[in-house]
Amino acid sequence: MIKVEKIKIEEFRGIRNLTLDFNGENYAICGPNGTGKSGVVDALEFALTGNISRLSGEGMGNVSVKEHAPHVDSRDNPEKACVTVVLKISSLGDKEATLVRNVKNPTTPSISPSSPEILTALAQFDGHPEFVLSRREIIRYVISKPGNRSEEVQALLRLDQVGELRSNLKTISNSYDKESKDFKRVQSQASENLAQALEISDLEKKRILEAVNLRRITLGLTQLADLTATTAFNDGLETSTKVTTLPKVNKISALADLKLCSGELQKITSEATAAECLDLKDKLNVLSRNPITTESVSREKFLRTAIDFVTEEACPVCGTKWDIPTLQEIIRAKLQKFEEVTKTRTELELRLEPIISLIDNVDDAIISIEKLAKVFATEHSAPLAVYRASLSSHRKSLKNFLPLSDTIFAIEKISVIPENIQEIIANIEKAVTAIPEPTQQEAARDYIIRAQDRLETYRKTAREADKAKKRAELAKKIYDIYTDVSNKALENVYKEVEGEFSSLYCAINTEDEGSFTAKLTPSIGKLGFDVDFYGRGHFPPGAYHSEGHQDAMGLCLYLALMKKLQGNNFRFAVLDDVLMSVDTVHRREVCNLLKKHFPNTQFILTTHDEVWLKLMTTVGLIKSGNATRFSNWTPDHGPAEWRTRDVWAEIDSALKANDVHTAASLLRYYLEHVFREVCDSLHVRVEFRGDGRYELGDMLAPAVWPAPLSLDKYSMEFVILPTV
Amino acid sequence: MTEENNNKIISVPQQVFDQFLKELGNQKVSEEVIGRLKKTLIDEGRVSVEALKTALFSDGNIKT
Repeated sequence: MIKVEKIKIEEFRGIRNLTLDFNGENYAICGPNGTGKSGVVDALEFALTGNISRLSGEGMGNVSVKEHAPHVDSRDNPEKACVTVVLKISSLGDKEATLVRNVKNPTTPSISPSSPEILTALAQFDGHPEFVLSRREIIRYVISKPGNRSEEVQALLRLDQVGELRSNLKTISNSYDKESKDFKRVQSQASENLAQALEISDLEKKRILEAVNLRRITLGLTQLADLTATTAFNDGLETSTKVTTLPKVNKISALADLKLCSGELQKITSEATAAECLDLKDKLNVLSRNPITTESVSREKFLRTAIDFVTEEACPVCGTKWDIPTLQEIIRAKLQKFEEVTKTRTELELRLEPIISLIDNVDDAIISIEKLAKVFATEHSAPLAVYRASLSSHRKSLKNFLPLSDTIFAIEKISVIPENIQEIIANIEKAVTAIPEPTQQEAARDYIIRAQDRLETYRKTAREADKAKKRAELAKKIYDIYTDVSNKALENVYKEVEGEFSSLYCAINTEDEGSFTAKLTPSIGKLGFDVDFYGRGHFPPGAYHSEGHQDAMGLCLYLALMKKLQGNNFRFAVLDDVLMSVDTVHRREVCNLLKKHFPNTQFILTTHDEVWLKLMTTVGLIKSGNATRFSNWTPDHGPAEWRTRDVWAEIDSALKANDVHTAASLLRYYLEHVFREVCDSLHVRVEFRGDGRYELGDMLAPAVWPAPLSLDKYSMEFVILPTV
Repeated sequence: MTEENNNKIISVPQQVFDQFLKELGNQKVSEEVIGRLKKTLIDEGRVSVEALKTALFSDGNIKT
């Protein structure tokens, strides 16, 4: 969407003061290693994004933009480290804008004019430095692991929101599914309690009505004809009965509660439960004995908890603002390292769930016994409360999973019921049994009241469970639809990129790989990439293809992705020494490709290879004059360009200092530079050198002697010779 | 990526979200839920868990 007209770099990286006029056209920067080419690339990235990827990426340790982007001598004055770019915005009718950004305030550039449409156009670069392609990115796209490639490609296509939405819908679906299961468990418990109150085993309508009507007949009430959502077992009971006071303890209910409690205690002390607990204990012990695994479980649990909290705009602890998607991505990346630990923990937690349910059931049963204890023997209340507290503590340990020592302790203890608890239950049972049998009418009345109470509880829990189930179903349905839609959409995106990539690569390799094809295969979190190898099948790019071919593939994949991302708005890219391993023939084709397929895109290219630079000019990718040659670099002066240096003054100065070696060396390099230009301009025949490293001796004689006519014609080129 | 007349880029995520909302309609998800999701995803550009929960169940009623 933008093209760069001009860049001014001050006190930034290795550059003291440099201005380059790109004029919105393709431009090349050439120079040996360490002469400052990458400083220009960094400056472009910094100006447009406020960041420098290679100073802030993975493995950069203590290196940072804030501290290390300024020139080494201006490291204490980051405000001096400043990049100014003049841009033309094609989507706004080539409107011009100037952007100034300094290292002290990298996030707040000065933009003029600062109209909303200009700010919007420039905002496209926020957090997206993909317009710069270096060999490092080529490696990431082409020969990285499928998981890493998927991340890189998704970042380039700005698919982070697509993945984030999927992940968050999954989180919601899981949480509502869990909630639904919890409500279902509560409903199931209420159902058991109702069946127990009705003294039937199955809650079938016919059997319920039979059991309730039997008692209603005893009480002289009309029989219930049907059981609907609003049926009340006690319908008419208040007006028909003469009994107004209830006994403190309903013998039938109390005996049922005691029976239920006994059953639950039997379950928690059964051989099956003991065996399961023993096995779980062994597995937990194995886990806890390995300190590395224990540490991993703790970290994994911490990260999993952390990701649930990264939904607000700021840290819930200190209030520091954060970028939610970035932080979630970081946490997810870290969690991937704990894949095995996650599997183990999830398996164990799933097995602990039934044990937790058993504890809940025993706790519910003991609550009923506590109520009886308050009537018959208050001294029993305290031990029962203590037992319930221990059950609660064990439940908490199992639910938390960490620390493992607590979980192991809980799993050891849950099957152990304190002896006094058994005695207390036996004593209460004796007391309940001693209660005189109620009359048939009293028993029927108690039955109806108790059953109605349990029915209401059951209905309430059923309503809640139903709501939770519908919530879970909707959340799952939404997640499933999204997964399906996004998978298909991404498959189409990758299919288009795959086609475009193959077409671009074929254009570079028409002679030997004209029928080349590629396969991009997306799967969850991964992106497979296989390429045809001379019709022998599809293999990873690094399997058989040469490094040069891989470089070309990386460039083509990048261009295909950018075309998919920006279409006709792909107007600016920086190619930082990306074709190091590509031979001359294929470089020519690359030039043709960039020129023909991307005529509206401004490419800024860097290279250390003079021949490659020359090729760009010959093929017409860059206009003559749209190039800068850095000759050398010093910390004091930064990169030096031949065109701006006063070489003769430098030579004079060296000679005055009696530094003949420096003067001679400088003269030689300068003459080599000049005669390379002369030979090229005069189309002089020079003895071929395979490595392209022509020395002064190779060029001097052929350029000067065989063509006197040329000398006259191009005498301006030799104006320096008399001075020599 | 597609382009509108005014050169505005329709990003891949935006295309995916549009198709998603359309498919929700085809799958008989309630108009209210779709409307709230559209507001959250397209108009406000939010995809956080909290924003999505509110979009799905804001009134506490379940509508499928």
